[in-house]
Amino acid sequence: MSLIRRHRWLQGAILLGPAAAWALAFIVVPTVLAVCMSFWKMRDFRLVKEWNLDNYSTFLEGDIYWRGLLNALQNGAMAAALAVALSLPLAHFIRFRVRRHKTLFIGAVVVALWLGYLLRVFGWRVLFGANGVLNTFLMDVGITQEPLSFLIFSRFAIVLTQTQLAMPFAFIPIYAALERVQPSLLQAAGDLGARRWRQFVSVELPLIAPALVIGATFAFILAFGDYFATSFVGPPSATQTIGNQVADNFRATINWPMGAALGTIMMLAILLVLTLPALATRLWRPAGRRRRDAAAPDTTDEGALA
Amino acid sequence: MSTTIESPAPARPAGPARPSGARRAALALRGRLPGLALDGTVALIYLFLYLPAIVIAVYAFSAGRTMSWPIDGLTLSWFETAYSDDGLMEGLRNTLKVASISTVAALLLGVPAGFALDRFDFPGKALFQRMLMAPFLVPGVVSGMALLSLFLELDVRLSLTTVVITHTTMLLGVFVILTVVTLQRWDRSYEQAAMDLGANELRTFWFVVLPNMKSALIGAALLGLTVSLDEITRTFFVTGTDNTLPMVVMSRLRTELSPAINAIGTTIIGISLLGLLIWSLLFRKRGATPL
Repeated sequence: MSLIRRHRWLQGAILLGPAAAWALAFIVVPTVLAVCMSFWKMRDFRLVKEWNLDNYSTFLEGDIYWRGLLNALQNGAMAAALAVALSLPLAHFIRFRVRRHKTLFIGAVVVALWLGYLLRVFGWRVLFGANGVLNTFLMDVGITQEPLSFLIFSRFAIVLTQTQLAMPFAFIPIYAALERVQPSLLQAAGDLGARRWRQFVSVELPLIAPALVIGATFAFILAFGDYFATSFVGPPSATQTIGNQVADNFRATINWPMGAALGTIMMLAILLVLTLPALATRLWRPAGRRRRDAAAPDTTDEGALA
Repeated sequence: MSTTIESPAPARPAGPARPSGARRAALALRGRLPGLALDGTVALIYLFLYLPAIVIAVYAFSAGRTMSWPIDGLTLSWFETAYSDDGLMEGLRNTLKVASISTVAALLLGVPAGFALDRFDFPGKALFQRMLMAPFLVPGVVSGMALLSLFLELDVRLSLTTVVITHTTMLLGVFVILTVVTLQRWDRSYEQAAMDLGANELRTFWFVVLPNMKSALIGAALLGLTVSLDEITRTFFVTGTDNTLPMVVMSRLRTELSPAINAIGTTIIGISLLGLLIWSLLFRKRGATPL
């Protein structure tokens, strides 16, 4: 009996071993190493393993890196808010208005993810560039005399592009939550005199609040960490983000420890953002539970009437 | 926050009485307007999602050199330019190489691990699963930075090999989770039947479990290929002189906006959509929902 148990243990180890070893070598060790590296320094373009806090004090004292972090946080917050704001009507529409080919409508959102990160960023540039589609169209029609400069290489372009990149990630959890909201609940609210907007705000939104937080978190992390769209459609350097600074320190200016320190700060920021929603939902839960209890009899009433 | 959520609750039972028939009809007519507004909004949102891709596809066929309005006629010459461009074609070859090797490697590592996670319990299992997903979920800049730190520390020359390692690490967690999810839907009594008939565990896996997982595995592989084909934020950190297609395209775009890029982009969109089509057909057959 003990032999079989040991045999089964061995089975698990054989199946799991390679993946665990890979994870150790390429997830755990690199992360630890990057954090260690953030406490080292460069001398004559060589990495010197002398422990120090210089990189973090550079971050705290200098204005550039702070602004980089703030820019990334702002981009993330704006993209998250917009992605959720766009996902809501879309999810509501698919859940309550689409009767046939629902999968097609959902699929069309997810497929947007498949079209390629680079291409979706590039597409905005073709669309919004000074000689791009929109500007030349507007001038051709005669609405504007010269190209609208805010369209590209601007904060506007960054947020728009990041919203588009992040939207499917916000949509998926929001739609999944809405799928569990019964139309009869909204009907009941309507029968009690609540207009559409009131139904939406007072019944639908509270029921999917946790999913809104999850969707916003996904969108936030994606936009916060993005350094490609920012450098590609954003202004040359004015709104550089911490992600760009990590990339620059590693691959352009060859200051690996500084890059590692900024990367570590990014990891901490993301960990914080990931734990905040968990805290928030814990605080929300009592209200949510009370609602669900109150909602349950409504469903049965609706069933009895029908 | 809690007050805004709670306040409507007492209002619901004490709402106004039902409106009369005529008033109801008027309300219904007026009620149609918000619905139409919603339809319009949704159409705009879909347009927003697809506009960049549509623009690229349209200008891949446009005869003019500049990507401006209006289009100067149609041509296929940009595809010819793109396909005869050595740099782009080498990038495409490298990308396909990287995508296929990392997908196969991640499948070989991830499927057995997913199998073990489905069957065995061990302390720290949830944490292990979360850790595996981390390289896919964290921003590419964090994952790329960490792996580059390792390569720098070990003095590894950056090449397509380091790119393959990075992509494999990114895909591993996805494949583990997909395997676990697939096995959770799987009826274990088939395995018991095979074992009762004398098959050992290996034969049971090979002849009973694996064939039933086939479409899920092909789906996972297609997903992995598309993700790897498109990867740029991690690759940027760990790539050497040989580059994948997205990297080649990116460096080209820094200097010029050539319609040949649109042509290669349209090709990638085509390949991705084809992969998606195959996947959805496979999943439809099994009656499972797409991810």
